[in-house]
Amino acid sequence: MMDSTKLAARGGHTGLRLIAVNGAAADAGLYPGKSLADARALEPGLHAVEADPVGDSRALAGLADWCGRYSPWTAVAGLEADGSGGIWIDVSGCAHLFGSETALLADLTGRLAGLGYSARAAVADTPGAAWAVARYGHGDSASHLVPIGGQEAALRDLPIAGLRLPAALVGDLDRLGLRQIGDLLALPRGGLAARFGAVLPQRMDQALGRISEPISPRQPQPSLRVRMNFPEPVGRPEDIAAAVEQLLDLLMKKLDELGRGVRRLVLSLNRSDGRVDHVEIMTNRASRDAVHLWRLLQEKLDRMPEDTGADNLVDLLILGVSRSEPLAARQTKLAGEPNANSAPVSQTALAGLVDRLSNRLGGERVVQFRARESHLPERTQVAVAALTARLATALPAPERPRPTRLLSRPEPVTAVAPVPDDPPVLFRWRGRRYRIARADGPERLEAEWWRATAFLGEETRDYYRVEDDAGQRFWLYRAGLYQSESSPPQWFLHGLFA
Amino acid sequence: MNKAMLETLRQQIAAIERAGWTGASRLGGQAGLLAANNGAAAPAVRFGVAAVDGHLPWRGLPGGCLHEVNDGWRPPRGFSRRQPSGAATGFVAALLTRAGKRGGRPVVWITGQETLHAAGLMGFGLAAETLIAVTASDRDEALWAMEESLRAGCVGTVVGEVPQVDLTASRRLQLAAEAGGSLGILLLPDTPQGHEEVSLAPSVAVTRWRITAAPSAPARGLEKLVGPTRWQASLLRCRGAVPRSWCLEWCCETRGFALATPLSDRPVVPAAGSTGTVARTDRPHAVAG
Repeated sequence: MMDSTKLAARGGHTGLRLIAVNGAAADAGLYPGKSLADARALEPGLHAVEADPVGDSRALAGLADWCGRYSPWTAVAGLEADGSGGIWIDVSGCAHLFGSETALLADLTGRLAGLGYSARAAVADTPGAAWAVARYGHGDSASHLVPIGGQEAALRDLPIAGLRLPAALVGDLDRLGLRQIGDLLALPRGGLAARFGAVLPQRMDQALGRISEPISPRQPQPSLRVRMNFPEPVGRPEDIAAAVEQLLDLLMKKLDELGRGVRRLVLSLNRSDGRVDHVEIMTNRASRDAVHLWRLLQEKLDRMPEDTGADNLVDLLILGVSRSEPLAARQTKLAGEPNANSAPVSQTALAGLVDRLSNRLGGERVVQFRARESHLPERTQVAVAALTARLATALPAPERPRPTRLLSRPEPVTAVAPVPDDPPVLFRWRGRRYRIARADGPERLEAEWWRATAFLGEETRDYYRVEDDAGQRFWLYRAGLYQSESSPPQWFLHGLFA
Repeated sequence: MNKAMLETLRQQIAAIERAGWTGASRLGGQAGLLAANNGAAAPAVRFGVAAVDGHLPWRGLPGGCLHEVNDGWRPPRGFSRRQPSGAATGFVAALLTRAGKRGGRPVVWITGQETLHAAGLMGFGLAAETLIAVTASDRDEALWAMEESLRAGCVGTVVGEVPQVDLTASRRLQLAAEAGGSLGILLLPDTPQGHEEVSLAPSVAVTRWRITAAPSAPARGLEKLVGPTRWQASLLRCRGAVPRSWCLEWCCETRGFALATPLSDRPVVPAAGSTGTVARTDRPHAVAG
C-alpha cells in the first residue's frame, strides 16, 4: 500500500474546503476538511488548485499499471476522502526478483519518489494489514515490513481508521472510547457484530488473515510472462525491437516445453516517466512462430504515436501470454520450401495473413459470409471473423437472382408504375432518371413479424429486378401495398445487379 | 520480314519490358523464378471465348500478374463514388469463377464499402466459403491489404477496390503478385474526365479493362423480362494486343462467357494505321509474370 497526497480544494454546501494538503501545508497547520477561507487567513501564500477526482483516478490507474513491474497482479485500492489513493500489489513469489521484500520496498518507494510521488508502502500477509500499516504505521519511514504472521502485533496500536471502515462508524467507536485496533480485539466478537454491523468483524478478520479477501486484478492475468530490465532506459525503435525479439524467443522456448501456442499476447512498455503502454495482438490459431508474432507486434508498434523525449524512454519490457492453447510440437518448416505446394503450410500461411490483416484493420473487418435463416435479403448473410466459422452454416445457393451489391441502407427513389402491382416504367434516383426497359417481378418478401426489433419499413416488400435502357440493372422494392390513392407506397433501391 | 525474325524481336521486346516493368533484373531474376515455381497454381484465366482468348497474347489473363478493371458506371451525384457497380462486381465474380481453384487457395476481396452480397456472387458460381472479405477504410489501407495478400502466396486471387492507383503503387502490387504467384484484380472507379485511355493514370497492370453493363437480349416472346447478364467489355490496354471491345454474355448453366453478338465485336478505338497487324500476336506458350 502507498499514499500520495497533494493540496486540492472542492466546492461543498459550506463553501470551498480542502481535500488534500501537501507536507508544507500540513506543517503550517492545514488539514483536509478545513475551509479554504480559513486556510487562506492562516496562510496567505497558499496555492490552491481545484480537485480533479476523475483525473486522480485515471492517474491512479496508470500508476497501478506501472506497478506491473513488481508483479503482474496489481489493483487500485481506491481514492480516499482525503484525496490520497492506494494501490494493491500482490508480491507473492515476486520478491526474489529484487533480492528480498525489503529490497523490493526500497526499489518501489525510491522509484515513486523519483516520479514525484510521496508514497508509503507496506508488505504484510493480508491486504488489510498492509493497508493499515502503510497509512498509519509508526515512524517517518516510507516503507514497513510486517513479518510473517505478525499482523496482530503490528495492528494492535494503530488507529481504528486503519480497518477501512466508514467514517461514521469510526466516529461512533471514537465516542465510545475505542480508538485503537487493540481496543476492539479485546472485546467479544458477537457483541461487536450486533452493535456495529457485520462490516466491523469482517474487516478485522480480513486484516488479521482469519478470512481471505479476494481482490480482482486490473489487467487480465497472463499465464506466462517474460521481462527485460534496462539498466539504462532505451528509446531507439531498433533497440526495443531487438529486445522484443529476444523476449519472444525466450517465450517460445517456454511455450514449447509446455506444448502450448499463443492466442493473445500483451507487450507492456514501461516508460521512465511512469506511463505504461500496452500493445495487444491476437492470432486466430495457436502460434509459436516468433517471426509471425513479431510481425504482428511490429505492425502495432510502428503505429504508436511517436513523441520523442527523454521521458519517453523504455526502462522495462514485459511480454505476457494472456491466452494460450495446446499446440503439439511440430517440425519447423525447411528453409526455402515453396509454400504453395503443401496444404498444411499454406493453411498456416493463410492464418498468418488473416492475423496480419485483422490486427491492423480490426477483426470485424476481415470476414467470411455465413448463412442466417431469414427472408429479408439484408439478414440472409452474416459476416463472421475469417477462418473461425464452421462450414455447416455455409450459404445455400440462391434460388432467385440476387444483386452482387446490397446497399446497407436502401436509397429512397421515386418510381412511376402505370398500374398498381405492375413493374415501374421509370424511376428517379438522386435526381437522375432511369427509363426501365425490362423488369422481373414482383417477388414478395413478408416482414418478419416474429422479430421484435424494428427494421427499416416494417412492411411487406415487393421486389423488382429492373434494367434501364443502357443495360444497368437495379433491385427496387415497394414498401407496403397500394391501399389508398392519397398515400402511394414508397419505393427504394436496395441493390445493384450485374 | 520472316516469321523467325519476328519471333526474335518479340522475345527481345518481352525481355526489355519485363526489366522495365518490375525491376526483375535488379532482383537477379528471383521474381521470375518464383513466378515459375508458382506456375502450376497460377495458370492463365481463360474466358472460354475464342475471340477473346485468341486476342490476348497469353490466351487468357495471365496469372501471377496485376489486371485493372475500370468500372464504367457513374453513380448519381451525392452517392458514394467508391461504390462499384453491380455490373463490374459481377464481371469480377465471373472472372473468379473462371480462374478456378488456384491450388485450393481462397479469394481475398478488399472493398471500401460493406455492400458485397455473397448470394449475388454465388449466382456467378463463386463458392462463398472460399471468399474472405476485407473492409478497408481508405486507399492506403486497401493498397496495404492488397499487397500483403498478394505477397503471402496463400491466396489465389486478390480483388482490390481502390479509389485510384499510381505508378508506384501498381508496381508494388505487380511485384507482390509475382512473388506470391497470385492473380491481382484492381477494381477502379470511372475517371471523372471521361472514357479516353489517356485520362487514366499510368499503371503497370498487364491488362486494363473497362466494364459497362449492356442491355440484355431476352428470348423471343419474353422481351419485357430481364435476360442473362451482359457486359460491354473493352480491353483498353494490353501488352502485345490492340484495344478491342466485346459484348459478353454470362451463361449460368455452363458458368462461362459467350460472345453476345458478332456486331458488338468491334474495336473501341478506330485502328490507327497498321498497328493492328504488328501488335497482334499469337504466343500460346508465353509466360507472363
